[in-house]
Amino acid sequence: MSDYYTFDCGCKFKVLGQSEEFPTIEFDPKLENINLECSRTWDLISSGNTKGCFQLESRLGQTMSKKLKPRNIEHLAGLISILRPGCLEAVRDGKTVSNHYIDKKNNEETVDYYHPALKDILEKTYGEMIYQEQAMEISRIISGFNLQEADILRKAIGKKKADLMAKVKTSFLDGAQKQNIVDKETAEEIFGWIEKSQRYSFNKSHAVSYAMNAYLSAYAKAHFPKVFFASYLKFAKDKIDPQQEIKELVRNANEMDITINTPDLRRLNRLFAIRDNKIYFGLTDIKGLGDSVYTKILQIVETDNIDIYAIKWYQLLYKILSNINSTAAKALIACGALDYIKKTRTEMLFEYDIFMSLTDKEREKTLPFIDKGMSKLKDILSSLTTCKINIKRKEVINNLILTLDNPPYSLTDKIEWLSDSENTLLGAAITCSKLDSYNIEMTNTNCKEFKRTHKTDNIILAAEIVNANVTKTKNGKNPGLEMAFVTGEDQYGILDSIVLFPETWEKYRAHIFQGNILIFSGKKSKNKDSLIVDKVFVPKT
Amino acid sequence: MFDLETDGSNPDVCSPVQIAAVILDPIKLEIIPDSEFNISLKPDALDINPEYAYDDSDVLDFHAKVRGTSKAEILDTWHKNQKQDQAWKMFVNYLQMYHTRSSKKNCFSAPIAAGYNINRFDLPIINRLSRKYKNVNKEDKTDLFYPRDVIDVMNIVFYWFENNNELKNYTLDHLRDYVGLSKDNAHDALQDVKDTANILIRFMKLFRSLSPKIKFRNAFVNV
Repeated sequence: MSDYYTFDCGCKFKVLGQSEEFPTIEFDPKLENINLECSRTWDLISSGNTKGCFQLESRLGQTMSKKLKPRNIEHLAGLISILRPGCLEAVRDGKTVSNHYIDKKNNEETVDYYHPALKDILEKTYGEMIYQEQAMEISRIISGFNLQEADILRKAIGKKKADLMAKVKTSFLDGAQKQNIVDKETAEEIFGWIEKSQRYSFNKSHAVSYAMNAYLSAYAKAHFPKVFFASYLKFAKDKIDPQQEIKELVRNANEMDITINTPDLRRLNRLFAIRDNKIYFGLTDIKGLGDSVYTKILQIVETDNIDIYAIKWYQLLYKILSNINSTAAKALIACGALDYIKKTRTEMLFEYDIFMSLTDKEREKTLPFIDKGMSKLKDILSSLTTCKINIKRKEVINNLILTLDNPPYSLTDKIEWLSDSENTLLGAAITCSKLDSYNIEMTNTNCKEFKRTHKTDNIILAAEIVNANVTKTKNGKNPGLEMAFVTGEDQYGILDSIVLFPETWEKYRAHIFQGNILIFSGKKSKNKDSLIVDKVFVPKT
Repeated sequence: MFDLETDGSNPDVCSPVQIAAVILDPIKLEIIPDSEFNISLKPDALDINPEYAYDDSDVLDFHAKVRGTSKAEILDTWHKNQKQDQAWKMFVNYLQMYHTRSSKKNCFSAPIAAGYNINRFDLPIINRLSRKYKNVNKEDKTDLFYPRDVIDVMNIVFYWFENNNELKNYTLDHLRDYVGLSKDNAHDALQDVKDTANILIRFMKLFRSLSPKIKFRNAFVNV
C-alpha cells in the first residue's frame, strides 16, 4: 500500500489507514500546505458548485463563480470584490462594473487601461479599478503621492469629506503636473474616475484573504466532500434559516452523489456524523427532539443496559418511546429514525398512540408479555385484560383491541406524507420525493443530470414547482408580453432556470403554480444553463 | 371531505355514531388513494347510561330502515362501537397526517373542511367535540381545519340548480338520484363522503375547464 493517496488533480495526501470506500488520510488545512493550482478545486469553483464555500455560497456567489470561471487567487479575489453591493450597483455604459469585469476576463469585452501609465496597475483586474489599493497606486504614479498622502486620498474619497476632497484634488492635480506623465485634463478625468470607483472598490488585502479562505473551503469540498458536508450540516443550526440551509446542503450533496441518510436511533449520534462511510442526521437534528431528550435516551440505554441494535419494537416502545415526550417520540418515528424496524411509520405511530392510551401502571403490566417476545400489540393488550384491572379500564382496553383489529385508516405509508414529514422534521425529504407517486417514465433526465448532460434537444424532465417568476419580455418579436422563469426541484437537485417564453407561458400558465408536479419538455438554452420549454405535461399517478 | 352519522338530528346535542372521511388532492383533483377514514362510535347517551333506548326519538327507526336491520341490532352495534374519546383521537391523528402541505404548520396550512351540508350540521358537531377534547383555536372553533374556508357542496349544488326545477330538493339522496349515483349504502358515512367527493371533483373539473374560457377580468368596467 502506498503511503500517499493521489487525486486525479495531482494533490497528494498521507494515508493514515484504509477503509472500505476511501482511505483515511491526513489533511492539514494550512494554506502553505495547499496546492493553489489544483484543477479539481478550480473546476469546482468555476462550475458554480460553491454552496458552503466561504463568501461564495449564496445563489449570487454560485452564479457569478460560474460566469467568471476563476482559475487563480487573483481571479478569486476579483470575484469576491465584484460580488459586493458597490460593484453590483455601480453602472457604467449601461452595465454593472461586476459584469464589465466578468466580460473582460472572459474576452467578451475589450480591455482598456485608459492611459498606458495605468496598465501595470490595472492589468490584473482587466482595466477595472476594483481595489482601493489601485487608486492609491495610481496617485503614487501619476501624482507622485507618498503612501501617507495616498492613504489620505483613499480616506477622503471613502468618507466623502468635501473640504478634504477639494484639498486632495488640488494636491493630485499639482502632483500630476509635476510628474508630467499625463496632461491636466487627463489627470482630472483620472481623479474623477478614482472618485467614482471609491463607491465600489474593495480593500485588496481583504479580498485576497477572503479568496484564500474561499479557496480553502472549496479545496476541502473538492477533495473530501463527505467530511465537508457532514461538517457544514452540523453547523446548519447556526444559520438564520437552518431548515433551508439543510435543504440546500442535502440537495447539493445529492448533486455530488453523496447520500445523506435519515437519523438512525441505533447509532445514537447527537449531531450529523459519518458512520460506516455514510452521513447520518443526528438525533438532535430532528425538529422537536432537543438535547434533554437526547440525554434522556442515552441515560435509558445506559441505565437499562439496552442493546440498542437488538431491541425489539415493543421493548423500544415501552423502554424508550414511552419515557420521552410524545412530540419527540412521534418525530423519531415519522422522520425515519426507526425505519430498521420492519413496520411502516404510520403503523408505528398508530401503535404508539394505542400504547400511550394505557395508564402508566397498565404499561408496566405489559412488560412481562413484551419480554416474553409477543410480537403483536393486540396479543399484548389481550393478555393485559387477564390481569387485575378495573372493569371500566378493561372496557377501554377492549376498545383499543377493537381499534387494532380494525384500524380506522390505512396503515401504509403514503409517499406525500413521508416526504412532507421528512421536510418538516429534518428540513429535507430524504427517502423519497413527491415525484415518486407519479408516472414519470417518459422523462429522460432529472434536475441533477440536466446540468451534466451534453444533450441539448428533446429534454424531458419532471419537477415540482418551487416558484415561478412572471416577467415581461424586453426584446424579441413582441416586447412587453408575459413570460415565466420557473424553479423546479426533484429529489436529485434543483433547476432554477426553466423558461417559458410568451407563447408557451400563455398555453400552460394554468398549470404553473407552486407545488404542482409537471413534466417539462424542451431544449437547453445556448449557454446550457436553462431549459427552454416547448411543452408541458401533467403526469399521471 | 367528511361526514358524520349521528344519533339525532339536532347538531347541538346529538352524538356521532360514525365518522368517515377521505382526502382530496387539490392539485390532481382526485381522492387520494388509500386515504379513507372510517370509525364507528358509541354515542354519548349510551356511554352515560347503558340502558338508554332512545324511546323518545325515531332515530333508531331511521338507522334500522337505511341499514335494513332491526332497532335492537342498531342499538347493540352502537354499544359495541369505539368510545368517543378514543375514536376522536384517531380522527385527530388521521387529519394530522394530511396537515402536511406546508413546512411551517399552523392553522392556515390545515386541511379545508368539506362535505355535504356541513355548515349547518356536521361542522357544528365537530366544533362541539373539538371544544370537548380541547382541539380549538383562539376563536373557540375547531383547529383541525383551515379556519377561514369551508367547502359545502350543497351550496355549489344550489348555485347550479337554483333556477330550475330539475332537482326536487337539495338532499344528497335526491342529488344521487339526479346524477345517477347508486343509493346502495346511502347513509353510510364513508359512502356519503365518497359520493360527495366525486360530485365536488366533477364541479371543480368543470370550473377548471371553464375558467380559462370565461374572462372575468375587467368584467365590471364600463358596466
